[in-house]
Amino acid sequence: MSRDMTSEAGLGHCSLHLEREGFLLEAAFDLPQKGALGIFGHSGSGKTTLLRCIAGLEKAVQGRIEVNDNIWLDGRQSLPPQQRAIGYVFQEGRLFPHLTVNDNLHYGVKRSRQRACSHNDNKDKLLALLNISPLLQRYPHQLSGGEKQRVAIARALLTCPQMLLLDEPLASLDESRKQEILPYLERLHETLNIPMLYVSHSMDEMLRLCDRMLVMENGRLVSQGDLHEVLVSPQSPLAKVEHAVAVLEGSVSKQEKPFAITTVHTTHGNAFQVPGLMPIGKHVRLIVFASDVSLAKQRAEQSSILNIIPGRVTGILDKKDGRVLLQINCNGDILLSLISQKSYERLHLESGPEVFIQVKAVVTKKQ
Amino acid sequence: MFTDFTFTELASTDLGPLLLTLRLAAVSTLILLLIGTPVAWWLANTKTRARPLIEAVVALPIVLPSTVLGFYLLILLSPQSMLGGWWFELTGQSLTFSFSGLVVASVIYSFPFVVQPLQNAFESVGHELMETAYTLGAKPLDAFFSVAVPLARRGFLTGGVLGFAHTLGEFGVVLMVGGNIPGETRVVSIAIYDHVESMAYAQAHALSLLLLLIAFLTMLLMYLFNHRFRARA
Repeated sequence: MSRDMTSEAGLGHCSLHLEREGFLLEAAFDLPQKGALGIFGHSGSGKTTLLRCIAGLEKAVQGRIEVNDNIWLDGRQSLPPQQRAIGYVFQEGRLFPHLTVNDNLHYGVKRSRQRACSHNDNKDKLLALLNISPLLQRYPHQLSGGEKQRVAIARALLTCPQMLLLDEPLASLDESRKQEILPYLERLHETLNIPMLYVSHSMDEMLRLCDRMLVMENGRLVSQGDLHEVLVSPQSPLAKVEHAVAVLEGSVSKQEKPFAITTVHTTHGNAFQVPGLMPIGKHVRLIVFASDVSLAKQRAEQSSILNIIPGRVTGILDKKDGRVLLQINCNGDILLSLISQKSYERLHLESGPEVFIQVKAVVTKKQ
Repeated sequence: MFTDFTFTELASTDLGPLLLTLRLAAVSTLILLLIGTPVAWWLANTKTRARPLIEAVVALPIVLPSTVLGFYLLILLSPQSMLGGWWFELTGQSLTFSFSGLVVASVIYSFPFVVQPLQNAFESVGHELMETAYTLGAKPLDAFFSVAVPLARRGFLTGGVLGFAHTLGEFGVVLMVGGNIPGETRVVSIAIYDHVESMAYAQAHALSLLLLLIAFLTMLLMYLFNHRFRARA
């Protein structure tokens, strides 16, 4: 289901102000009722501090935090962290070294009995989902980094939080461990109804996990909105030559078994053929990197490229080192194309913005 | 003279000082842990600039000659002083030349030996796991007992044993504050000194060796437990 995040009744609102030596955090944003809100920025941009403010771990913060009609922060009046219904997953997991996995999980359960939630009735299901049932009797030092992180996630979820806060949960893991944990996070995102705030400096994680996004720089929000909008909007700091990418939401409409190709129709009616077989009707997120999108004035016949779609060039978003980043509107689907300055001039766009986009590769993410 | 003795030389009059010493060490250690724990926790977590000053004051008994400390305590605890006078009004007894006075003196004298290991242990527990406990619904005191205390158990063991052992060996402070009253302030170290003064070397030998053994066993137990804790941590 394409997650409709538009301003329906939200979970709450935050407006934060925090001053520290040489650092100022100022941010105001809505907390979504469901789905994952990504908080993206470079290290030192204040994204972890922002998350800690929401959890009540930063003493000096002022402002207002409202969650489900409960006020967590009002001016300087702050509800202590133990009274906020949050689950916090720290970067390093932070399991209690003197307790077994089972006792670590139980620590939070015991202290949050007054809360109730659906997944807690089925603790075994959650443990199975995160694949930690075989680890229950072990101590944290007997776990791998990935296992620790899975236990930390389960421990946070078992307290029945109204919100799950994840602070770079994959940053301390190596690449193969990351790839091991990501599917678990994706599954949680699909199966649980708990809104997540996900802090990361990894664009890959944002693209795979998040529905909305806050972009931070030097303690301030420089962009916020639905993921696909933030990625392609002209004001966004993300629509730059270096890492330009767009996402589209769609659902599977056709399978071609002999070629192992699946056709996905986007919400705006464009058809993309993507590798791999997926069940008809399945909702899919398409991730299209600008460097994989080339442009042509005429539709190329007999091309090896399967996805050729008409569109209009609607703007130049960035120019650098002889390369140009263009925004393309294909009947409502917004994509980005990164081409060389020379190719750009040979397109003679002054005669009209109509082009055909040729998409060389599409990464899919099941939803 | 130095060789031929047996524990039978341990006169029945020496049993009193021995039991008194153990009682003093036990009571002092208990009080040291009760007072030392919050002080150590505070020192480990405070951001006040006065921290080095307070740490220096706490550490003073390590370097101060016990006679100096004993002299000041004698003045502080005497019924003429504020503290000693208040105690006298409250209990009708003097703090000087009494068991209670010895306990107060021992607690002050051995304070750094308990506070420093505890402070180190609390510092190595760190703030992160306490924060984690809060996010899991623990109130500060709950988090302290369920996270900080079990993780600082080596500090408690080391602090407790050092406080106990250090009180066992106390001499100068006792002599100044407690004097030499049998059954009240005559601890082992004083008894040994008495035996030597009266040339009763065999008795001094027996009592010294016993204290040596107790001290050694205490230390041995501490290092054995410490080693086991480390292996488990």
